[in-house]
Amino acid sequence: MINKIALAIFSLIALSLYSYSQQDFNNFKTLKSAGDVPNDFLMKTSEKVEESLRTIETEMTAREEVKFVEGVNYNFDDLLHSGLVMYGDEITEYINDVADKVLKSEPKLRRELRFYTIKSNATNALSTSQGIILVTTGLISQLTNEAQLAYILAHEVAHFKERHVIETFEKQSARTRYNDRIQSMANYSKEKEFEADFIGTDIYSLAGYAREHITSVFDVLMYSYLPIDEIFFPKDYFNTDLCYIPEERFTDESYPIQVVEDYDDTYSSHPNIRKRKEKALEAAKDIIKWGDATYYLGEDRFKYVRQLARFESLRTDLLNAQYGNALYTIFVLEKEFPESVYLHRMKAQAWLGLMAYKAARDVSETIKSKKYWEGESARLYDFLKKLDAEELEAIAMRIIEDCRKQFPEDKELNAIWKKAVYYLDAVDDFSLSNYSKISFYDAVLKAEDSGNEEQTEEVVENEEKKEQSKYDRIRAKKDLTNPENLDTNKYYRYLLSDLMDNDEFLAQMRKCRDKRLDKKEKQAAYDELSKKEKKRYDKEHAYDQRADLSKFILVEPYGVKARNNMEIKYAKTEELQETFKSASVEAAKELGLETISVSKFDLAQGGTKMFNDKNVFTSFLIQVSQKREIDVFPVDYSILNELKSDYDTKKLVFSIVEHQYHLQFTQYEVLLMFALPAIPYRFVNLLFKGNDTEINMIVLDIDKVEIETGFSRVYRDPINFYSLKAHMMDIYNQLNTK
Amino acid sequence: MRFLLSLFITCSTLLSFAQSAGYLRKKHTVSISLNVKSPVLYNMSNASYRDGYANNEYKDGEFVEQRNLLEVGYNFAYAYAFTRKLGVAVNLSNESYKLSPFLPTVKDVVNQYGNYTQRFLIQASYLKANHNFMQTGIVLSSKQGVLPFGLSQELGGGFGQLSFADNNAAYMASESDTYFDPATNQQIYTQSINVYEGDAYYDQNFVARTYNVYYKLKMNYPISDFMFLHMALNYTYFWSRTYDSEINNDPYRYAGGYELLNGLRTKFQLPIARVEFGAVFPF
Repeated sequence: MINKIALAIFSLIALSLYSYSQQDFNNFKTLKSAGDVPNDFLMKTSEKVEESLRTIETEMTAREEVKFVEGVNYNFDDLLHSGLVMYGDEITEYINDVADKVLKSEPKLRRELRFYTIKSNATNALSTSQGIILVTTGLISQLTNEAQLAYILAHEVAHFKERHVIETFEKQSARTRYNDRIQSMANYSKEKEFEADFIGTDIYSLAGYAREHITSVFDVLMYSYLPIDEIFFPKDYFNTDLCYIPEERFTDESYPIQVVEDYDDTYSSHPNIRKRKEKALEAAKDIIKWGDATYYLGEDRFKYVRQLARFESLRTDLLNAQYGNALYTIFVLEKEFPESVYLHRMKAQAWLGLMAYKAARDVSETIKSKKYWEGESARLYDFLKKLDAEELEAIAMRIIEDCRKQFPEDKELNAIWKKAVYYLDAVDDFSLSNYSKISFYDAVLKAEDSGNEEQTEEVVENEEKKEQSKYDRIRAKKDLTNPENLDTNKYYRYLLSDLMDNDEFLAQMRKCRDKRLDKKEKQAAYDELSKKEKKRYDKEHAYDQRADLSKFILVEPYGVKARNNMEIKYAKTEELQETFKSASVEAAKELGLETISVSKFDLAQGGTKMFNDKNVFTSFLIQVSQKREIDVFPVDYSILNELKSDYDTKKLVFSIVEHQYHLQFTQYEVLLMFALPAIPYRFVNLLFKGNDTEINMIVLDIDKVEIETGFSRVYRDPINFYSLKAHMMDIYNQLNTK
Repeated sequence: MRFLLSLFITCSTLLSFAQSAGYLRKKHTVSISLNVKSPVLYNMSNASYRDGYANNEYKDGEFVEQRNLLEVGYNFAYAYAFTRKLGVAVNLSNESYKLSPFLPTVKDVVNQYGNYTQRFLIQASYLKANHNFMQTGIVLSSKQGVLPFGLSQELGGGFGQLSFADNNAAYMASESDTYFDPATNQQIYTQSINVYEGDAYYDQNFVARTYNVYYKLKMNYPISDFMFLHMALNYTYFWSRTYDSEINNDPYRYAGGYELLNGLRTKFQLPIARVEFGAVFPF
């Protein structure tokens, strides 16, 4: 009895702790890694390579073995440190718990395997020869139960158990003709997939999961290219008291889901879904004992984890500027979380992104192209694609304003709003005078009222009209509040009605306009300068492009060392990265600049906090690099601002050095060889000039949310710590305001 | 020198607002290096230049031909970087090498009938030449390089003086009689005797003033905060305005200033490329 009470109390405490640690989706924050940094993230790749070479047993030659082990470890470590992989977070913990269930009969194998989550919208899981299995948030977001995840994990475990990665590499290395090789690799890969399905089914059944969920896994894979749900998108979705968008703007065309199970898989690495289903069921037939479990860890936990994955998928879409997808996901998620500040922020960010891309005339990149439109989301994509600049900017401003109104104190929404006003003002020929001070609905009401009054006042009006001047009549024609001018095609001119008298909006508008006109005037004045004057001007204003680097965060200085044919020298690359990082820190120190290094080489000291911070900074960089000419709004704006306070600086410095040595012999060189005195010159010149080193550096300002300054240098020196240090000192000198 | 100084000051004034330079903020460098050149390479292209690297050494009463494969000198330099792209450098160099005015030469005497009567074989050993010269030039960094380290190019000119460390070179003239043998249709030489065996034939105080222009492609590779490894390829073209008459030409001897001067000029034009290896210290 006492034991039962103790158990009940313990369960209650555990449950309350679990509930306490759960995310509040109304105030969702992107997932972070937790706990100690696993060895997979701490160990240097060269150490991993050494260890792998000691333990690996293959039929490859020693050279091929090195090539394989280096390739796998360096590429995979790049992925682990890409800013997308997580450990110890709630999704990863869940995957590990499911893996425990899947491998309960193979504890030794379980101990060999490590499971991590990768923030990606691809619906995928992958295993490596090192025993790491990665599962994407995209996959989790599409699943319908725990058993499906169990089957996928069992499939990946089978790949690892049967050493498929190694065997595939061995097969690839076999010297055959290129075309034959593609075909043979595709067949070979398919064989391995069947094998993994076969063995995976066995592992899955041993874990006690129900047989009927196997085929549904393949449905998940087949339809994974569609959004997280198929929900009818209504034509009045955007309509509110202040927002009216005519139904004609939305297509009635239906876009059926076209994928079939039995597609042509000749050149695909995976067999088609029909074949996989058949093989898996064939394997299932041979198994006598089946369990009936759909959940071991509970349906609630599964649904909670899937929701986390869906929120993460939304963030990933915004990170990759896939605003069409993001808006449909928000449409799906906000049904369950209408009060979520996070969804409002993401919605505002998506519309802001559309405004920015529209201004740069690249909006089509952010919405799926028509050939991929299938299902319910197609109506939204169609609507977004058809919007012209003026329409889009007005709708976006309207929605962003509504989001801000709902959470007026939210700093992120206020920052988005300010940016939105900037883009609104930047639209060609934008003028507030073209917009109505009353909403479309009020204008309709007014039109109806005026219709009633029309007959009684007709005589008086006619007399008044006679007295109107030509200019009064023009003004009346342009006045959108005039019922006679009501036009549904110009619906977007009624969208900003409440803002027309909003002092804050008008002041912000004026500020943006002044800034833009000032910039325009300056540019025009500059264009008129002579070449010599321009040179002098550039010299005098060189400091304008600089940033205050007295204290900055140096994020993962990156390095690549390549051979003549651009093939990466893996071991040298890691050495270069470490050298570059040390040189960058030392150079800053020499100049009295305070640096906080956040890199994979500092994780032993910085721990998981540093790992998480690095991921947030890297995400910002991913966003910035989408499109150089577009000022992006960081998807992790709020976290970035918290980190700004933590580190007491708003400057982020990203840098990369690339080095390759290649001798370039041209016809000209060959001719020079005949001029005997030129031989030593050419020789020495080639020897030195074969060095091709490029350093790129950008400074991001968290407050300004933009690239503040950047630098690129290509030079011909060989590189080592000292030359990099000297170059970095020079670069800091050139970029620093002080 | 005054000209150089004024050039330096002008450049400093002009460029004081220009971009900063330096290796860890150090703009001055001093360097010490060895320079090595090989006359052989150029002889390969023209056999007549053989004079440039073949030397006669007088040993045990005989002349032995030697190959002068490598010539080594040393070099001190100071450089200053005005900007990351532009600097100046002053080089002080010394080179010592063996100079043979001529290789064994045959001189024939012809009688009034046009027949050869005497033949003289003239041989002389090498002289040890000592050449000190200064070179001043501008230094230009490679594209986007930063002076004073990395790959750069130096261009300039200078002057120097060449003297002989030992003017008492061995000299020998051998004489042999000769007649024409109609039976064999060949010139027949009879026993030869040394008609002169002795020492130098040049002015003890002879000094040749030299001028040069140069181009240097150099790499200063940093290996610590305080030192670079220095490698360079230096093309220097020397010339001298010394004339035959300036050299004491003893009319009683068989060879004189003309041959020496010729040898000197050949020497200057031969190994114009030298390789430098050394260390540079920035400060």
